[in-house]
Amino acid sequence: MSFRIVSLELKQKYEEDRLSVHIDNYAAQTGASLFLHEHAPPHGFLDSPHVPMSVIYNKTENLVWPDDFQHFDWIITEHAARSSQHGHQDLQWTIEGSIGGLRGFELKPMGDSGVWAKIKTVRIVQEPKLWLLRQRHD
Amino acid sequence: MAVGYLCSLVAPLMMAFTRLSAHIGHRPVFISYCLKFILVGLFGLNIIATMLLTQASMHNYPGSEALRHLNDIVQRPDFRRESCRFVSCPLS
Repeated sequence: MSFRIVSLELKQKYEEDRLSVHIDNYAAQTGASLFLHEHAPPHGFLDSPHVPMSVIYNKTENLVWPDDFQHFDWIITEHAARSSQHGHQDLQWTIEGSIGGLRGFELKPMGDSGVWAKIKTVRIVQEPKLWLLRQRHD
Repeated sequence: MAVGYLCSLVAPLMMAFTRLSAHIGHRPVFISYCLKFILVGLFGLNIIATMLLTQASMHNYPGSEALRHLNDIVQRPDFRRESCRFVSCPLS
């Protein structure tokens, strides 16, 4: 058995269980790094996942919506409006979750009445920044 | 609480410093109080700003949170059966 055949078999086996995820630019800049690619090699000193699942993490930039995204099962994107748009042909994207990020700071009173209402504290305000979209083909 | 604790440590030191400088240089009391107020205030503001920015940046990594969330979903026992509906994971 030549190296080419073995490689092809491994490639087919890999592709049978694979799951493709696209990570957009903002997500890649805010911590979606190689250290969190748990289901793709190299695992390094980390333990392999309990449920073996090969995931292809893709960080290609400047992809065209929706044609270039039809091959992805999941996308991590900052464009929530894409969930309401249909993908390629009969494919559709549904929101599976949203993740908050920093919006800013604001002053808020410590209480509702009395002295506490006059004392203000600085609070961190967050808002949804990234959305997890899953492709459905009903 | 940490800010108050640090300020309570720093305030006596600053008071001692200003009293010493006033004693050596014969400065007016008003200047030493102003100096004390400004230095302690600036130090406290600096600490508060550092704590706020640290807290804000600690919780401002949505990309890693999203990927961690996705990894949790992938590790669910029923995910494999569910995922076979996807394009890249055919039943055949």
